[in-house]
Amino acid sequence: MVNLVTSDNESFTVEKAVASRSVLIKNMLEDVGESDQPIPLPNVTASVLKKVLEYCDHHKNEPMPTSEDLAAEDTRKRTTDIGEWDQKFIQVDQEMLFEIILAANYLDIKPLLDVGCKTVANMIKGKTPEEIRKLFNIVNDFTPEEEAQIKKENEWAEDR
Amino acid sequence: MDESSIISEIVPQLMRTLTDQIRSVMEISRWQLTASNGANLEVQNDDREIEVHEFAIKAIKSYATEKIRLHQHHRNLLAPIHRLPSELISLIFQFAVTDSSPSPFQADISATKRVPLNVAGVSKRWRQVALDTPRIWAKIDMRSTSLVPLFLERSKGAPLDIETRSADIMALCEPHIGRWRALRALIATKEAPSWLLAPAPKLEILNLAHDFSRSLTRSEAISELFMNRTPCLRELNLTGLFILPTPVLFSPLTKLSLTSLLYDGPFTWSQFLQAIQFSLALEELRLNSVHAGGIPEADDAIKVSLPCLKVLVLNRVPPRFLPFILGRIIMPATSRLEVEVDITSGDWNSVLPRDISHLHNIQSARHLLFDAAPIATRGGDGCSLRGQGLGGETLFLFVVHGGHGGRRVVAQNLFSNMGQALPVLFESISITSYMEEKWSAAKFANSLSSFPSVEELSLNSCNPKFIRALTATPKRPPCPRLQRLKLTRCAIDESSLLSLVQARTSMKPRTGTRVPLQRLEITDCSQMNLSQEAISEMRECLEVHWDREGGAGPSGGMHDGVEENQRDLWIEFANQFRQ
Repeated sequence: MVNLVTSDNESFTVEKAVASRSVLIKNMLEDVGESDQPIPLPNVTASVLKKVLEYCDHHKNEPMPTSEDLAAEDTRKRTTDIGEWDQKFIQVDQEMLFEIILAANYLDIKPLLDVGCKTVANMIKGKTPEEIRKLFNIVNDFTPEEEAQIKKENEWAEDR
Repeated sequence: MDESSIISEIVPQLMRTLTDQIRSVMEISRWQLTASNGANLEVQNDDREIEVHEFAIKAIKSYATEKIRLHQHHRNLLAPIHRLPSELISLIFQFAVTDSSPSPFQADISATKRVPLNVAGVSKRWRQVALDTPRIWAKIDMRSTSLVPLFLERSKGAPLDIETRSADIMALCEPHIGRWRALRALIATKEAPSWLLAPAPKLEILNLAHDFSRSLTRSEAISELFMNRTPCLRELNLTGLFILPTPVLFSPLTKLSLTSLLYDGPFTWSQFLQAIQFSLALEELRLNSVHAGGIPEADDAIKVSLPCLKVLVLNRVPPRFLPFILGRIIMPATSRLEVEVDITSGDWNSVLPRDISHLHNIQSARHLLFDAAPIATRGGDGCSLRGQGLGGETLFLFVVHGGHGGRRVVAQNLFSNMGQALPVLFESISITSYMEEKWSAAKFANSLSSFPSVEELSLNSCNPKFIRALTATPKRPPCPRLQRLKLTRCAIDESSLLSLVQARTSMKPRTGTRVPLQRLEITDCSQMNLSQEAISEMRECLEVHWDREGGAGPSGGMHDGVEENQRDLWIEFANQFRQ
C-alpha cells in the first residue's frame, strides 16, 4: 500500500497498482524503494485526489501507455472520443474539471489528462467566440486593432 | 448623485483642471495669439480651445481604455479556465481541431465556429496560444480560398492535412508539398495535375477521387503517383483513378482501397497480386467494383502472403476473378474476409477457389450463419453466409445477390453446396428465413449431412418441412452429432415434432459419430401449439425449454400485445416470401 498526503493534509492509503497509474508517483516509488514514508502531493487537494484515485482505481488493470504510444500519438490525428465510463466520471463542474486536468498534468497521468482535455475540447467545438467566452466566463480584452484583424479573418472565412 | 449632476457638475470641474494643465504643458508659442498680421484673435482663440478639449477627450479615453483593459485582464485571470497553463490550453485546441471540421463534401458550418478561428477570437491569451500552436492551423479543409494563405503561414512547418475539391486551393498548397501529411482531393481535370507529379516525402495518407463526368481513359492514366517518391505513404485510397500498381508504391502500405476502376489493356490480376506481394504490413485491402482485363491465368503459381492482414473486402469484383484472387491470397486466421458479389448460377465455384486451405480465417470459423433472405438482397434472390470464430468475431461474410427474377435458385443452390465449398469443422449452424415451399427438403438435409461436426443447430423463421427433414434416416442423418436444436419463429405440428425428437434421441451412438439430441429450445414460436402431454413425452427423452410454458399455457393464446405484434409481423413476413 502507498500513503499519499494532499496539500490540505489529508492522507489516502491506496494500492500500489492504483497509485502507480501516476508516472510521478511510480517514479518516486522506484527511486525510494520499499518505504512506509508518506508521499506528499503539495499541488493536489483532498477532494481532487479523491476523484483522481477513483479514475486510477477503475483503470488500474489497463496497460500503461508506452513511450512509443505517446510518440505515435504525437504524429497521428487525435480524436475526441471518450469511453462511456470516463464520460460519466468527468461529468463534474468546471472548477473540478480544471482541477482534475491540472492534477493529471502534475501527477503525469496521461490518459486522465486526455480525458479532461477532450472534455473541454468537446465544449469548445462548434461555438462562436462569444459563446465560448460566456461558457468559460471570459471577457473580450482585445484592442480595437486586434478586433479589426479578427473581423477581417472572419470575413475571409465566409468567402467562397 | 445622479447621471445628470455628474455631467453638469463633476465633468466641468474635471475638464477645467485638465484643460488648464494641457494649456500650461503645451508649448505656448504654438498658441501665441497674434493680431499683427491681421488675424482674427477670436477665431484663433476658439481653434485653440477646440484643440485643447479634443486632446482632453483623447487623454481621458486612452486612460479609461487602459483601465478597462487592466480590469478585463485581471477578470480573465480569475476565470477558472485560466488556471490552466498555456501548454494545456494548446493541447485542448489540438483535440478540438481534430474533428470539429465537417467534410467539405458535406454542408458546412460557419468557419468562425470552428477551431482555430473561434478560439483565436476569444481573448488575448487564447489568441496567443492559438498562434503559438501551428498544428491547429495545419488542416486545410475550408471552402474559402482567402483563408488558405493565412492558415499556411500560421501552420509554420507543421505537417498539412489537406481536404478539398478546389483546384485553386490545391494550387495554393502545392508549394508546401514537402509538408503534406494527408491529402483528400478530387481531380476534376482530364490531365493529371502538376502536384501529382512531384515528390511528396512526408505524405502518409492519400485519398484521391476522380470526377467521373470527365473520366480518364487508360492512355491518360497516371503511371507514377508523386514520382513514386512517397516513402511515408501508409494509406492509399483511389476512386476512379487509374494508376499502375507497382511494388514501390504498394509495399509500405497498411491500408489500400481501390474503387470504381476499370483496368483494361495489358493489366491483369496477376500484375496486381505481384504488386501487393511485398506489402507485408498491409492490414486492410478493399477492392470495390474493380475490373481488370484478360482472363485469369490458370497455372499461375503465385501465392501472396499478407501476414498483417486484418480485413479483405472484395465488393462487386466480377465473379470469374473472385476464385482467382481468393485462391492466391493467404489470409491469417484472425483476419476478416468480406465479399459482396452478383452471381446467377448459385455455384460456389464463382466465389471461392476449390482449395481453401490457405484461407486460415475460414478454416478457423466455428459458427456458420446462413440467411436465405438478408436485408442486403432487398427481397431478391440471394443470401448471406457469415462465419464466426469461437468468440463470436466475424471471420468471413459473403453477401450474394442473385437478381430479382423471382426464381430464388441462387440461395437454395448455394446452401445445397455449402458443405463441399466450406469443408470446415463448424460447431454450430444457424439458418434464417429458409422458407420457400418449392425448395427441396432432401437437398436441405443432404447439405446438413456435410457438416458432421455440428453440435448445435438454430432454425429461425424456417418452413416446417425443413425442420421435419432433420428426422434421422438410418444411413446418413443430417448433423449426426446434433445435441442442441433451437427453433425460433418457426411452426411445426406436434406429431412431427414428436417424431423428430423420437428419431433424434433414439439414435444409437456409433463410435462417437452419432450422438442423440439432448436439448430442444422453442422460442417465439407463437404459431406452434403443443400439449402438455407432448411436452412431458419429449421430456422423457431430452431437456425441453419452451418460452411459452408457464405463461398462457401450451395450448396457445398470446401473452400480450408485443407477442401478438411479433406474430403479425412474422405472418406478414412469411406471406411476402410465399408470394
